[in-house]
This record gives sequence, C-alpha cells and structure tokens, in this order.
Amino acid sequence: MCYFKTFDPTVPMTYLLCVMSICVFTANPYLQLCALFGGTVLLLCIKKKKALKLLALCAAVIAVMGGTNPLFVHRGLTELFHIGKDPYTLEALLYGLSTGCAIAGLLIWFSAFNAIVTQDDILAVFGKRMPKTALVISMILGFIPKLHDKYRELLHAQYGTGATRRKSLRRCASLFVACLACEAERVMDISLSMKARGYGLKKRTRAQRRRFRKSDGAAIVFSVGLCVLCFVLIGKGRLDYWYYPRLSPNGFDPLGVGSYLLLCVAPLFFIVKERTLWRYCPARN
Amino acid sequence: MEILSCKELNFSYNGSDRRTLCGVSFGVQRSQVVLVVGRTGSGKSTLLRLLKKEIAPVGKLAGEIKVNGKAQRDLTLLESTQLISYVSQNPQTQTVTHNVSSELAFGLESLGIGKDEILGRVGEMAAYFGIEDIYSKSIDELSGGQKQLCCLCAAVVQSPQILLLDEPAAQLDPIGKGKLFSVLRRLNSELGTTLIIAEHDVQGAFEFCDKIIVLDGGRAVCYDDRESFLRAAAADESLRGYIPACARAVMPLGRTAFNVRQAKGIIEQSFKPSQQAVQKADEDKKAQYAVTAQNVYFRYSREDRDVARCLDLKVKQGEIFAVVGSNGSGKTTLLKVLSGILKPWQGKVTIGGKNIKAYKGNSLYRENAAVMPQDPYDLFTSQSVRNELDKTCRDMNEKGGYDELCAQFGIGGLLDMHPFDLSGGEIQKCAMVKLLLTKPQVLFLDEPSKALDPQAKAVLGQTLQSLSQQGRTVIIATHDLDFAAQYAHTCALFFDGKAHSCAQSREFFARNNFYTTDASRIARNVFPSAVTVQELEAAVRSGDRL
Repeated sequence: MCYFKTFDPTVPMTYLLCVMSICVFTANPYLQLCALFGGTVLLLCIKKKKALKLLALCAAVIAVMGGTNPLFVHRGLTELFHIGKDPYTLEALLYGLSTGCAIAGLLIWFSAFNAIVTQDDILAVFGKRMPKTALVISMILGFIPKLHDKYRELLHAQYGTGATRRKSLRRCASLFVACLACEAERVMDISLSMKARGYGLKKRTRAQRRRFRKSDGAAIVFSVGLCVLCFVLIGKGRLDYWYYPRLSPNGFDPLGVGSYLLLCVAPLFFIVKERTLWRYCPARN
Repeated sequence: MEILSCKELNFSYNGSDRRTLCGVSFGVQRSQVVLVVGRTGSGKSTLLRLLKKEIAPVGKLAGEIKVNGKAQRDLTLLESTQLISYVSQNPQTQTVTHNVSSELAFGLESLGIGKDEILGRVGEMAAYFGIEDIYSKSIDELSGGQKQLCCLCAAVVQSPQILLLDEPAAQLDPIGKGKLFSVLRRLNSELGTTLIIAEHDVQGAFEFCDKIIVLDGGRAVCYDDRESFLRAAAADESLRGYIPACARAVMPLGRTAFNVRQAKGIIEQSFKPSQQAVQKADEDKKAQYAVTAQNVYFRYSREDRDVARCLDLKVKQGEIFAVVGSNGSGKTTLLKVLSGILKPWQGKVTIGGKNIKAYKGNSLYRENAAVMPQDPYDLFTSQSVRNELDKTCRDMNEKGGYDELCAQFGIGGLLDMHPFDLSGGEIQKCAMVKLLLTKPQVLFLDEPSKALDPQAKAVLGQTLQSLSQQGRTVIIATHDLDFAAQYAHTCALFFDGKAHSCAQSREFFARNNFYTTDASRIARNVFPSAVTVQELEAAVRSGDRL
C-alpha cells in the first residue's frame, strides 16, 4: 500500500471517489467489468489473502442476482427456457448479472477505500480548511469499530459470569444499550480531554506532515480528467446500454471504456513501478 | 511564590449531600512534586480535576483555587491550557485522534501554533520520551504502557508549568512503572515542571516527592516533607499501607530510607549476610489439578502471531495462582483461554478435570468458573448495582442472598448507585461480589487489585485466601507484585506465549531481579526468604544485629 502513501492524501481520496462515482451511475457492462477488474487487482495487492473472503462474497452476490432476476422479471425476447409458464430470458439474466457486478464493484472499491484512506488522511485533507469538522468526522468514523469491540468485550464479560449464551433480541438489545452507555461515557471523557488540551480555542491549526507536490497535482488532474471525460461521454449517450427488450448493440465506446479502464488500473502502474524499484534497489542487499 | 494554592475547598457532586472534599487547603511551590494519597473514593481524582477548570466535575464548589497568583475562575482557556496539563489513569479515554503523531500534535494545534513549530516540538518531545519507534503507529496498536507514555508526552509537549497525574501508573507493568516515574523525575529536575501525582502505589513517586497530601473522608492533611509523613504514618495504622517498602523495612532500626539502595545499604550494614538459599518446597504429587492447559496454541486470526503457544500449565485445586508479565504480553488472553471464553486452535484446557469443550451451553460458568475482566465496568449492564446483582441471582436461579457478601466487601451503600458513578476501587469490589454470587470453583481475575487502596487490597487478599481455604482456585493476572507476593501460592511469568519460571511465590520473587518486590530486592543478601514488606519488617525486628 506504500504506493499510495507516496502521494498527498488528497490523491487517493480523489482517485477513489472518481472511480466510484462512475461505478455508481453506470449500467454499462463494459464499464462495470473495468471497475470489477481494476478493483479486484487493487484489493488483492493491498489485502492479499484477506481480500479473498470479500471477493467470494462478491462472486456470490453476482451469481445470486444473475440467477434470481429472471425468476421475477420476464422481460426480454431471447427465451432460454420456461419455468412453469414463465419464460427465463437471456436479457433478464444479463441484467441481473450486471446489477450484481455493480454492487460487487462498489463493495470492492469501498473496501479499497477503507484500506487506503485512514482517518488521519481525512484529517489531513479537510483539517486545514475545516479543522473542527474534520476532527468530528474522523472521530465518528472511529466510533463504529470501537462500538463493535466494546460489544464483544461486554459479551465475554457476561458469559464469564454465568449469563446465558442464548442470543435473544431482548438480550442483544440490552447489551447494545449498555454498549452505547459505555461509549457515551468514553466520548464524554474524551471531550473533557479535548477541552483540557485547549480544544475550542479560536485559532486551531493543523500540522501537515507532507507538502503538496507537483506530482500530486498531476495525479489529481489525471484522475479528474478521465472521470470528466467518462461523464461527458455518458452525457452524450455514447456509453448508454440497455437490456430490454433486446440487448443493446451499442455501449462499447472505445474512448469511454478505454478511459475508464485506464482509470481503474492506474494504481497497477505504481504497484509495478514500486516493486521494480525495490527489486533493483541497491539498499535491498 | 506558590504556583498553586487551595483555600478551604469544599465540594459536593450534584444530587449528593455528601461532601467529597471538605475544607481542603494547601499550597504548592513552583517545581515541587506533590504526592496525593488516600483511600478509594476519598476524593483524589475529584481534587485533581477541580484544579483544572475545564475538566472540573459538576457540583457545588466553595473555596478558592489560585494558579500563579490568579483566581482559577479568571483564567482564560488559553492560559489554563498553557499552565496546566492533566493525565488520567485511563489512556483509552484520553486519546482523541487515531495515531500517535496526530495525538502528540493535538494540543499544540488547539493552541494555534504554526505547523513547523508543532512538528519541531513534537519531534523533540518524542525523542525525549524515547517513543520515536511508535510515532507513526495507530493508537490501537499500542500496549497499555505505550499508550500511557503517549498521553503523558501529549500533555508535556504543551510545556505546562503544572502537570496533574491521576494514578498514571495504574495500568502499567513494573518495568513500565519504573520508566514512567523516571521520566517524571527528569521532567521535574530538567524542566522544573510542578507535578501533582495521585497514587495508591507510592513507591515510584515517594523517591522524589517534596510534599504529601493525605485525603481521608474529603479532609486533607498536608505533610511538608517525607520525614514528617513517615513519622505520622508510623504512629497511625490507617497510613501504614502508604509507607513504601524501603522506609518500612528500616523503621524498626530507627532509620529512614527513601529508595531501595538506601534501605539495602542500611539493612546490609546492620545484619550479617546470609548464605542460605530459599528452600524449594516439595511438590505435592497427589494434588488435584483444578485447571490444566496442555500444548495450547491461541491466536486471534490466521494471519496473527500466536499469543499462547506450546503452553503447558497446571494449577492445583485450592491454589492462588498469579500470572505476571509485561503490558501486551498476553496475560488477559491467557486468562480468557484458560477460562474458556476464547477457544484455542490447538491443545486442550481442562477445568475440574473436564475438557472445557465438554461443558454444554454456559454450564461452565455456573458453579464452575467465573471471570472478572480487566475493565470491571463491563460486568454491569443494569442501571444500578442492585439490579445487576439481582439479575445474576436470577441467572443462577437463586433468590436474594447477597447481603452477607455486600457487608464483607463494604458495598452496602453503593447498591442503589449507577455502576458508572462508582470509582475504580468501588466497582472492583462490586464486581467481586457479582462473581462470588455464581459460586465458582475457579475464579479468573484480571488485575483484581487495580485502583484499590491498601486497605481494600487487604480485604480482597483475605477474601481470596478464605476462598482458597474453602478449596476454590483463584487465578489472577496482575502487575501488582506486592499483592502477588503476599497472597499468591504460586507465580509464573508469562512471556513469549508460555508461562515461564512457574514456582512457589517465595522462590519466584527471591530469584527475580525486576519482576520482584522492593522488599525482596532490599532483603535478598540478608534475609533471602523475605519477599513481602511484612516478612522483611518481622525479620528486621527479630534478626540478630551486628
């Protein structure tokens, strides 16, 4: 993940938002496949074996969406077979797969976002202009994993004193309330600690540990440029794709698909560059 | 001029008629080190928090606090932040950001200091504290000791004139404690920072403190030097627990010592060196084992390293077994694995001769085993202590019947309080009562003596001894070596995933250099078998002087 750490935190954030914004809005299967491919490669590079669980889940989502959509939607002219009186159409099957790919793509890119953009990066990006808001956002993002850890601790503590292991809704709710109370107490103590260290004084500053360089600007221009190009082509209808009643013969615009593919696989360039540099680095020996 | 003074301070919390502080008056000179001691709930934390306006508890306050000659209420937020910093006993509730570097910069950013100056000051302070290796780490990756050092560094980087420390060493292992107090001592001697330290375990700060304030029932008695405190404590049984081992050891000789080196010197000059080694106790081969672990491996996830590996352990029935070790060594995990809360991926754990896998449902924790977590507040999910104890009785199908235990632990007056309103020591006592209601044969206690005053520790220790006499087994993970030396039958050092040096506590402490008590360090050349301060005191009284 070092290749992203060589950039200013604005770069990975902008890049990931660009990729995801197109992934959310498009139903074009070529763009979806680009997102899926780029995201999978990136996630495997970042998380290695840990990514396999999520990828398996994504595969399951695609399969389920693809398999079940034709059971409920009978639109489309290419009938593959009949289930009872209802036709099972190729168009509905592909539409289901496409929807599955869109969801899987988003899951994968969000997972990459979580792994790459830390709370400190958020603070670094927004901290200069909005130091207080950035701090609050960063603390909120840290709240959920802490809540989860606390819930587990409370559960263990309750087991250890004879409480039942049966997971009733009432029991879970009471533990969750206790968990929230613990966290509320902790947050109150943290707010006191913040106040004790001068939080609330008017002129809050932010100590940036890294300067914004030309290469950061170039990377942002690259990401935003490709993203804007894709949106322009989407706006012009060159990346439109439809499934019903028959599959669209259009949708493969070389410029649009090529640009998005380039955007999605751009981190690979840095991964390969870093590995090559390290391989031939004299310091390694 | 006094840098801080309190005059006739009275305080009571909102909704309470009881005065937490009553007529407290004292003054602190610039660069002095003040040690505040007192029983659990005596108002130490309240006093310290009142000294910093921004974190003062809500309630009725009367009297006057002056900082640098100015009334505290007239200090602006900027002045107060620059003058006074505060470090609490729980680093979890002090860290605001998610990694060490931004945590250290937080206070300076609040003060509006420029970027370059912040980075310079943070870098300098990180080097001074020796925490450069954790500078880029996430706070969640740090051990308890590292977190506490990070909090201290974050407080000191603001260059305060007064540093308030509320039980700063409560969660630290003996070596971490030593490091913390040496840093504090350097801060005082090199930067002239005024320190006000509230502590139960006085040894660390006693060595270099100038003044001692004893809080009892909200009233403060001020001793202007250590000698006057020692004279008063020698005559007052309730203060004896606050006399550090080094001073207590030489008291029968009519001498005074403030650190181990001085006490060791006096003892060795006064008595003949002993060549006798500590006798190894014969192993009882017929003893029944209450808990065993055979070739146990445990890790939190496949990618992590093993926290317990190739672990073999046997704990006899009716034994008090103490596990000591450094912060982050895995003592808590060990307790969870032995008690069946966490399942090992390899190996076998038995309780009462039965594999823990054979206990169905939650039957293991009903009349078999009970576990006190590191944070005893986790045991309380009800609105009051009484409701929680009632719930435990219902879980155990028992009706009432906790009055005797409440009286034994002195928590009768706390039953209707919300658990979160109790102090650290009070909640420990309530948690013990809740645990004992499940009538366990084996008790697993994680840091049971944490935040307890000497009197409360004695009550806890006696309770554990009486449980042991009833044939119940107690396994504790602790940093409190004095407590382990006094009450545990067997001790082990948990290190590298295994329990090493498992031995009878006398033998264990007599052979260790760092994981040992001050009494053992003082006495080892003269009275090698004395490992507790009481034993050393008795040996000094009865020994033949040169």
